[in-house]
Amino acid sequence: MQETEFFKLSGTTAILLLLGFYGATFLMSLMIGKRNENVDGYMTSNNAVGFGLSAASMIATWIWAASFYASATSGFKYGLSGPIHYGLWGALMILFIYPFGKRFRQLAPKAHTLGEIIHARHGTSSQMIMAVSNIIGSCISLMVNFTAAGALVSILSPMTFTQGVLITGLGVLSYTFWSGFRASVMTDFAQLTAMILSAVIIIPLIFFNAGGTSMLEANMWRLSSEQASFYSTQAILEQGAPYFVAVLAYAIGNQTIAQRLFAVREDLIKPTFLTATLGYGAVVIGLGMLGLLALFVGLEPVDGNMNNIIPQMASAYLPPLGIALFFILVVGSLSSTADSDLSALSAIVMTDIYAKNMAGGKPNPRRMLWLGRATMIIATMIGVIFASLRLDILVMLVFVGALWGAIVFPVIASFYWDRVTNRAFVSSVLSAVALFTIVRFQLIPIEGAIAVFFEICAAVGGAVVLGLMSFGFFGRRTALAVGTLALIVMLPFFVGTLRDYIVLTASLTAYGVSTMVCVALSLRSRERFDFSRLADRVTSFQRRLDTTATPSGIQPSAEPTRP
Amino acid sequence: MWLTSYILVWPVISAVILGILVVALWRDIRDAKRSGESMI
Repeated sequence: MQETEFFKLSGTTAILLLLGFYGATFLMSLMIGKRNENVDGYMTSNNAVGFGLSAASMIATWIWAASFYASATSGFKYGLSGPIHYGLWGALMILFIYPFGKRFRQLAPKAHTLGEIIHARHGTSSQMIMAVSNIIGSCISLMVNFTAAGALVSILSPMTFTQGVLITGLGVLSYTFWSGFRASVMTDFAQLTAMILSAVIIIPLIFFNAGGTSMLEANMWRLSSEQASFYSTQAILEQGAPYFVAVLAYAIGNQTIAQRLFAVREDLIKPTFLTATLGYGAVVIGLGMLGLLALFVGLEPVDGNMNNIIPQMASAYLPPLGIALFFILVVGSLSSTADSDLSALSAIVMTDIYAKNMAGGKPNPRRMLWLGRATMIIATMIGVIFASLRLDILVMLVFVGALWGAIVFPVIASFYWDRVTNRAFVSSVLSAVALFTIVRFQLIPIEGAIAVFFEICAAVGGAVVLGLMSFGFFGRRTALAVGTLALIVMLPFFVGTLRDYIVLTASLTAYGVSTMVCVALSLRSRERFDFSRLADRVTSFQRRLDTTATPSGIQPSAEPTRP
Repeated sequence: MWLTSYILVWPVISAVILGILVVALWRDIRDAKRSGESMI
């Protein structure tokens, strides 16, 4: 296949598609708009969102623009198993966090952010680690999504990159600004419907237009032995394992997921997470198949840029209507994630920064709401400016990834083990990030005894990952058995070998070091935490304010908080 | 043939999931109307 030019929608068509998409989502947000928003509703709705909306919102948030491009890239590079090594692990992480999510929700049913529960458990310094990592992470996510929008618009229409970024930024802000999280959940359903319908049409259309089964049979020779194998070691080591470790950290540390966890009706957490697992996996693996098809037809990505695979396949094998559907698919995916990031950022600033710290426990509801809305405007501006400047964010991304990897064990342990202290939490995270930085950027030569030290830390990290996954579903004994067995198996395999895979070594080191430091410091502690205190410390803002603020003249919301 | 199924099964699963979500949403809307409470 030598077709390399991109099909371009006319400028009018592209503008009409964007206006139609954002106009429709804006109208949807008007349906749920209230003159006096409730601060709790603005952050987590009514804590009783139904299964359909919750699951759809979870899938739509978890799928961002990069999901398609990365899954297709994985299919193109690693062949048959490539899309699985992207989509399956991402999907399984939704499933993995469900038992921990249930625990968080059980301990603090009225929480708004994970940082808020950490504040109640440990105090300000631990909470700030969570808050700062989420603020940076969500800003990066916004920037990446706006960048994807700019790239899409500039590739598939005569409009410029900056115009695409600006339209998307304003579009997302317009429907999220007033009602916050409630608007995000509501519009996620429509966006996911558009995404799935587009995927359901586009994937078979490209498959059959590219030649269908006969093309696969005729072009099987294009695949190397590794690419033709479902059990490719290269795919596991280069794509599956590093992604698995990274996405686990993302699932636990990210406020967008935590926010949906606190919003869904408590008895629906399990079906919501199970359905989201299946839905995410099916859509992302399905779109990854376009990368596999690109490999079969012998596509050469324009400029060697793997992100061009899907647009090139769409241009080559879809009619103009199909291109329009593809356009909506990508805009829907990036918008649903961007609005979730805006909602997450506003909740963190409202709760973790203002209510818990600046207001000294006596927040003004009106000020709190406007602070959340102002946060959305500022975050959108930051996202748009950074996307337009096309800044290199790799270093920042690496640090956030390390921070999230380092907090996984301390966060989970803090809600199951009564001996974990604030000092253990903070020290474990900081030491893990420090050692991660040394390995990831090779600040000292990773060789000899130093390399062995980090390989041992990484083996512990690997054991921790598998142990935690077992712990969520099968309890402490199984987790300890799985972790110990994993350590025994991985240790001889890692020592002398893992140093060649520096990204994986660094990521696993973050897990291993944070766990070892956290456990060591917690074992020395004589403190015992009473978990039943969390529910008393983490309560609805509105109910608390309704009972305390009225005498001083502060007007409560017209919407009472659900009991 | 198995490779064709491997590629095309994902849109089918996606469509089934969408069907489940739409039915669930419809039920939520119906229940919200009956109880008079907002869905979100």
